[in-house]
Amino acid sequence: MFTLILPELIVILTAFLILGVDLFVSEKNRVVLAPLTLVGLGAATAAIFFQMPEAGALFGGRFAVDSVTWWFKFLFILSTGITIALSLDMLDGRKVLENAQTPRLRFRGEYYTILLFTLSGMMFLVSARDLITLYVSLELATIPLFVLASWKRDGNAGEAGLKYVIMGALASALLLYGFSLLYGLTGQTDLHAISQGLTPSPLLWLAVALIVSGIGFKMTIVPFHFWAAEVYQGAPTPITAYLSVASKGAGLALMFQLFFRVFGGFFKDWQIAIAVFAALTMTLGNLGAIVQNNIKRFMAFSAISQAGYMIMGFLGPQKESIASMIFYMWVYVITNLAVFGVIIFHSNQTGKEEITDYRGLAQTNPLMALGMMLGLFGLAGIPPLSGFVGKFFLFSIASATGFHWLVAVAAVNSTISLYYYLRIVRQMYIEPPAAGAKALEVSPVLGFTVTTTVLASVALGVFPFFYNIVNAQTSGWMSLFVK
Amino acid sequence: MDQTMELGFALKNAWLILALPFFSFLIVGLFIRPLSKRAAGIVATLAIFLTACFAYRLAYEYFFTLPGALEGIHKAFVPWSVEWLRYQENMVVSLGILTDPISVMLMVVVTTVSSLVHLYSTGYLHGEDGYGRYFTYLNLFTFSMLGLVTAPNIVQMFVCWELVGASSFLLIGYYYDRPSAVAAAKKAFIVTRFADLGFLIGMLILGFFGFQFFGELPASVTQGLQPFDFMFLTHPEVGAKFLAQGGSFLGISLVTLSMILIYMGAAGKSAMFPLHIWLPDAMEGPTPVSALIHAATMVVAGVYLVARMFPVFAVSGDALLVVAYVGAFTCLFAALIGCTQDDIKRVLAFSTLSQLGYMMFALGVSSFENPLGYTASMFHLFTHAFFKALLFLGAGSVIHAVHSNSIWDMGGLRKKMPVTHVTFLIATLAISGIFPLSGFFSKDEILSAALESGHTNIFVVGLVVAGMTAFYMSRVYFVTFWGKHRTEGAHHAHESPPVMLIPLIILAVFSIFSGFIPFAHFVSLPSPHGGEGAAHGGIDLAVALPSTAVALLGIGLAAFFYSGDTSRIEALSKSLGVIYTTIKNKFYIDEVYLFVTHKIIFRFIAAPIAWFDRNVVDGGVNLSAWGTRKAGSGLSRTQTGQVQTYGSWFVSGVLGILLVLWILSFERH
Repeated sequence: MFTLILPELIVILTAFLILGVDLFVSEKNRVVLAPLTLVGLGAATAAIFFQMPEAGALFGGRFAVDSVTWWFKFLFILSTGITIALSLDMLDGRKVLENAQTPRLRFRGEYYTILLFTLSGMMFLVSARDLITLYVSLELATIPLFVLASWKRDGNAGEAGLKYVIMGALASALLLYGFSLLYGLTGQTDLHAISQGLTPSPLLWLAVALIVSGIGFKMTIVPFHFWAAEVYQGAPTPITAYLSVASKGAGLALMFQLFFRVFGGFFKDWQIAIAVFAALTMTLGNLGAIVQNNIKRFMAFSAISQAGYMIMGFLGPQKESIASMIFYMWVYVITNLAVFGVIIFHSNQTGKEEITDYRGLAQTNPLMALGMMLGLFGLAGIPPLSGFVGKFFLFSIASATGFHWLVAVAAVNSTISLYYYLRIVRQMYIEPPAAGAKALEVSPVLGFTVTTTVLASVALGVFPFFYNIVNAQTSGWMSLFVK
Repeated sequence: MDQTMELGFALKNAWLILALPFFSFLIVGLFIRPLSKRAAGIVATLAIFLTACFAYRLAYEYFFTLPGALEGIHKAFVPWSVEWLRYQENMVVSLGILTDPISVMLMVVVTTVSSLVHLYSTGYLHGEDGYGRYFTYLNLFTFSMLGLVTAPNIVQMFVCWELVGASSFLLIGYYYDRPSAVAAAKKAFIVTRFADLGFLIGMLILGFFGFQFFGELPASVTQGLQPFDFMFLTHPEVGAKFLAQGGSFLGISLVTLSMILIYMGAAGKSAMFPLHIWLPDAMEGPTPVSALIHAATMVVAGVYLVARMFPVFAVSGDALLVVAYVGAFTCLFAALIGCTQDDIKRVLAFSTLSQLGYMMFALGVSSFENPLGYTASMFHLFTHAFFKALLFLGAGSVIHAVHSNSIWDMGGLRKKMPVTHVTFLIATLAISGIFPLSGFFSKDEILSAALESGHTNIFVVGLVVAGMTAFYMSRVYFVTFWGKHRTEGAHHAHESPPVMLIPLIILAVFSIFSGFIPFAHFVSLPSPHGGEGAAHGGIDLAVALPSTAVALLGIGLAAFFYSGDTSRIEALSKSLGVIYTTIKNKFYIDEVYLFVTHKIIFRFIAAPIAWFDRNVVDGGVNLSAWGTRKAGSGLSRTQTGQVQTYGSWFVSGVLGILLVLWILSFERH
């Protein structure tokens, strides 16, 4: 059915519509672009929810949807929508402090268009069913991000963009080598056909290793994570937020495509490697976060450690693997964007990005400080916030597949993460505000976004409805693909 | 209980007896207290009077309208309950109201004394800052005590048991700006909590076997019951199972062990030796509180618990002996100390200890063959509640007038406070066991129970203590009300306001006439074989004559030493020397406790553990934090900022995975 591809079509059409409108309206009237984009995203979301959890294929099976794909697409659109809401103040110049350090972001039309392009790339990525489509969608999802990362055009942004391009090129090249090895081994490009034709051989392990590096780049798995700190710091803060959720989600989708669809039959061979990667990533991410002083670098390491938790869903085929992974992604998207909302609010108002600049936020803006605290506690996984529930499900996967040591490592890491998240809470609540600090005002858009995301992050943890619906729709998937 | 039986209003709505004080507590505490202290006192008092009326109605229905009630057959049943906790199919705990003779009797006692104490307090605490808070706590206590009394299962009993402990703690510490009150509150709470630990362990052992037997016994026994219900645990079939079960621990059978542990809880609450140390200090609370909690109601909870579990104690036998001898010892021990104290409330406190000892040993000497002690104990509990509350309220009236607790600061008050004087005299005669006041009948019954059951030694102790009781109470009476005023306070003393005198008069009426109630007709030990036990009432002259004689002797001695000039007693106490000072210092039991806790437990157990915690545990935690930070800053060096480095890591990562996968596949394929 043609409607299966409708969400992607809506996103691409919106992108071109924005580009067109941008040409013909004056700078003042470009304010209308953001609502237009959000309407497009809303329409795409509606198209997803009306068809969920239908399964089907188009274009001779190269584009296919199933219950899991819908959820990934929903998460991508959700993160893009929130990111746009977070960018509004910077793009439309609604900063309260006149002499703030961060210059206003320019070229609104292109900004939204490029965001929508990378979104469409991610959506195609999770629907792709052969190697070529997969690779092309991955590039479509990645290359616009290089542009966005250096949007500010200052020294830091240049460094970020350049490093991101170089490391991205390296990762793409290695991934492409891996893909070509897969083709060489089986003579097929169709993912299902490849998975049928594979036999264990050293060449296959090489292909897996190369592919892992590509995925590791997207997901910031140790040791493919080094680019993250500088790129996160140099990119405009909303793009940092976007990188930490959507781009990571794309990595998760890619990993899902390859490890469950293609290598699903060999999970006994790679599950230990996944466990080691998970342990390394969460530990090194956490240790790195402890010593950071810049809040964006800090969030980069926090995001790295979260990636370590996320890949725990790949430890083995369990009935709840997919559901716990998607649910955790959902929780992470909302919670992390809530925290970034406060970071953007703070840097818009003060132009400062150091952790110590957050001192006394509880007095200069109590509500935002509360939102930040709830968000950080959610990331640390404190009950009853959703982060706890999400981690609980992932840890149970690890425990059900027999990786008890990994659960112990993950629990220790949660404790460490609590320490560094509390560093910020301490600055906000215990340290007095800097001398002469004034009350900080929050713009309606940011206030609304942070409030909604924080409330949603609490609701996801308190009401079992959300997990249950994900689980009900996706639990049948594993029995289809993994023997 | 027969389902078709028609119940009266009170039995049908038995939950009201808990709901009234509970909601009064909430409403007074949350809404009325912040608005008006006066209104808080009035509402709280009215609520408890309403509860008392309800309790009387319930008692009337229970004892006079139920089928067979007039023939003296009073079945236990649960007129109202809701499921509270459900763990498994059989493991259910309910909240409810149990009505049987002793619970109904105690409902009457608790609500009567509590309502009178409420009324009295509106005068006694007039104008104090914590007035509203005081009535809130008092309501909470009344609710908890009624919940304890009506508990149909041991779990509800334990919960309310702790609640009365907590409200007692709050009320003893009512004057929280006084260090001695704070210390006393803490002491009472810690000592009773320590005893409750035993209760809890005993309850777990008992509940464990109870739950096992519940599954094994036929439905005819377990019908309509739950494994922790008293009606189940005290069922004769369960007792037989306990005897047949036969496990033992350190040579003590498990049923004895669990009952002794439960008795430990009871002894803590009822302040039996050696857990009695909290009760004299608890007199730091306001005097009406002492009357309600530390004389009439809460301290008898231990006696009530033993009576409630009596069939299980009887199965054990040995546990019952422990109850008897500890009771008798406390009875004598406390009476001895009572003879030497100068603080009027402390004399009353030791007298309470001594009377509780009577009740305990009366239970201890009874058995299914000699059920008289059970009735006698409950009878004494009943009469004692009234005359002891009266004594405390009278003492409160005197303290209120003189502003001192020491009897040597009083004197000559019989003209200045006539109502207080007469009511106090009635209570003194009642506790001394003078015919025809109530104490005579109940004490007589206890002594004949001891004699009939063959515990002659306990009987002798009881008889001696009866004389001592008469002596120390008359001593207080003579020193306080006779002779001349010794201080300015006593000189200017005047009678208390009517709100304080009315409760005194009502309690005096109860103290005079409650002895004539044919108690055995209402409360007697349910025989294991269905019918009612053959407890008899009436006066046993062989006991009554000697006990009256020793009581008169005691009063005479007190009159000889204390009614006029006191030089004779000073000479006597000097000649007794060390013995006198030892008794006066309460046998140095408090000092022994202090030595054990401070010098031994604190120094040799607590201090080393604290050192370990501070240095080893905290040090370990700090070390791990230090290590983690070091690792973090070490790792941050790998973040060089050089793309070349990142690229090398990238490639070595790929090689690393390849190696890992390859090696793993060698092992697998």
